[in-house]
Amino acid sequence: MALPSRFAPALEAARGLAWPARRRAPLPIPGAHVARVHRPAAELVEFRAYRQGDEPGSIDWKLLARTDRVYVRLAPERAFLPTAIVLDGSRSMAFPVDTQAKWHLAAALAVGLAAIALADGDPVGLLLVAGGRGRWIAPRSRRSVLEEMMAALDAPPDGSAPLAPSLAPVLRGLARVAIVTDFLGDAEPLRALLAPFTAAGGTVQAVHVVAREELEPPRAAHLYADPEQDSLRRPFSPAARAVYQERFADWRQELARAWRGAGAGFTEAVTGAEPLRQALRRVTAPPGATAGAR
Amino acid sequence: MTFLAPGFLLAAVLAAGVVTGLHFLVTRPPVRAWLPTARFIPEAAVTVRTLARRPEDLRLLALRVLALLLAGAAFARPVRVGPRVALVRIILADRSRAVARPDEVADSLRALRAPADLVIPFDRAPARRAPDSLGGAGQDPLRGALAPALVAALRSASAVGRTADSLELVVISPLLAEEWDAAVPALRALWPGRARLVRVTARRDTVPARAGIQLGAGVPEPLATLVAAAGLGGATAPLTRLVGDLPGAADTAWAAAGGVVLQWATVGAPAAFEARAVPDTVGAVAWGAEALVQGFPRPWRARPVAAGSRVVARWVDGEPLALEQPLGRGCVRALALPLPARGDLVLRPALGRLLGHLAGPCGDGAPGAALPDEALRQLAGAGPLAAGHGFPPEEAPPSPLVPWLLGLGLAALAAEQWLRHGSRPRPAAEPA
Repeated sequence: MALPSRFAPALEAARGLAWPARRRAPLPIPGAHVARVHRPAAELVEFRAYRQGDEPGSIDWKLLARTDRVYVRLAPERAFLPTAIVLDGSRSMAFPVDTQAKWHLAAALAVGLAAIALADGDPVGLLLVAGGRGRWIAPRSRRSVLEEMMAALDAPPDGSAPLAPSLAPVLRGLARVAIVTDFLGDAEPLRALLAPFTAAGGTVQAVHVVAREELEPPRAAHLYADPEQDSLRRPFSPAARAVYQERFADWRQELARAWRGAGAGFTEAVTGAEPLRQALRRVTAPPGATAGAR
Repeated sequence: MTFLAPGFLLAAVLAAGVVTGLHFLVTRPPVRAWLPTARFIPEAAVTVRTLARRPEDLRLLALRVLALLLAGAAFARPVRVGPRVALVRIILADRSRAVARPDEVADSLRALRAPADLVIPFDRAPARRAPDSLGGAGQDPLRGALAPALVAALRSASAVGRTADSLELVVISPLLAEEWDAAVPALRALWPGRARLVRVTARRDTVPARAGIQLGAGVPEPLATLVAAAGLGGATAPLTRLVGDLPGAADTAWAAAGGVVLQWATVGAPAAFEARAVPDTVGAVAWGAEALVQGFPRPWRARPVAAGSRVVARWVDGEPLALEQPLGRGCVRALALPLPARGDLVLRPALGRLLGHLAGPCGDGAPGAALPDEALRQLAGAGPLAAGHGFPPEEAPPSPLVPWLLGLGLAALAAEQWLRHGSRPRPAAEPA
């Protein structure tokens, strides 16, 4: 299957990037990430007294010769992180109407993150919630999963289905969840759903996609309507612009504080503000990195 | 039709333009668009002022514009103006004693006059603008005067100048010197164009002049002595009848026949005079270019001079001393000069000359010489005819349309109020 050309820039931007785990991986699936579990291995990390059942090959014979005590050498296991990219395909993502820049940025980030995870050897899947339903592509390590994801992203965003109900059934078995959304739907239920996942050692990375036109609306008077809630109409005037920007900024700050407070990584990506590679770097950066989240 | 104050109408048109422009500013819901973060916009009224391509509320607009234009037209005071005429003649027709044959004046008038022309008959004073009032021309014992006639012509020009392209001044007159005075050149200079002079035959007095005084009733002795001393008595056909009392029937008949009745009051106030509250004295009397210096008591004063009367002699302070009132073909003169009971005043030649002046023909005598050529050139002028707009307009004519225009304007305002408050507001159109 040929890769859609519109995602070529995303794949190019993801080339060479890594997405290290923010925590020790919970599952001892062999992979590139350091697991929580220490197993006998050649690479020394620490010693443990021999127990029945340990591999004889892990016994440190030199230590036995010196001390007459039987110890085994331990090293951390390398694990894979089954990763799911949760992509919000609701109508609010199709903004601005003429360019749909939010959707294109969100889709590119999803494809880029998936490509990075695949390059790290992690199984990656996609949960696309669009058109009122969720489409689940189970995590796989094969390259073909990327093609399948890109094909699924061809459909334009539509509907206003919440993310949490579609994500709940597929959380089991995942080690990492990346949510790419504008958080204008079910932000609180989603955070509440992922709280136990985070507490159990899972990694959550939230990517808040914001359109530049949402940050700086045109100054001309308009009657703005919510695309997912037609009854919500508000007149927009130059006098109301300052109040809108203040409210929106306060909400974004509160959103970031709440998600970070829940143990998730939180990154804000604004359309047209930076190259895609830089955005991917910020999303995949370890906590405390200089290229940190906004 | 024209407007006396067109500036108001222009202001009304400008105001109507502003009102029309304001009707393009409409309040309606703004352009609708999507914004996913609309929830953060503060709630407010869903309308905004915007500029429309077509004005709204056309009926309201029409009523407002109509009210403004009607008010502006009312303040601009429209007046009807008749059709313009290329040439209007203002014809001064002499009907004074200087005219020998009135029919000659009438013939000249008929030859010149057009339907739009104005005729102003004049003698001493111009008559009102009667169309053919030359009756009695030439029989007027008073001499004519050009100055009042020119004033009337200037006023007429101000009245008709609005509807005439050119104005021509025509004077039909014998043009005698007695009709010219010091005001004529100044008044003529106010007419900004040439004038046409039509000279008619001047009257010449062919009847031999009468003189002498007949003593009538109530003449005291001093007066009789004065008459004899002045050489005015004993005429076979005297002109003047001297009386001491108020004129009687015989005196009236004398004056009507063309004579002069001179009442020299000696006891009571003469006709046209009344007693003073406080008698005073005056040091001299004057008549023409002469004077008699003598202290005289002055127990009487003249009543307001009646129309047609003239002052024949004055006290030195200007008060009338002798008044002449035309009567028939002659006149009656009243003299308020008390003669002293004693003294030689009646023998003084100056008093005799005064008596001779008072006993002379009615008016100022027979018509005199013709106007000199220089005066005729000055009166005729030169250059083109006067332009109609060259005269200051007379007082603004009444504008009967003003109340109607104001009333219609108020009616339009009332209809606008009713339409604005009585009609329901239209629902805001949903944007596409």
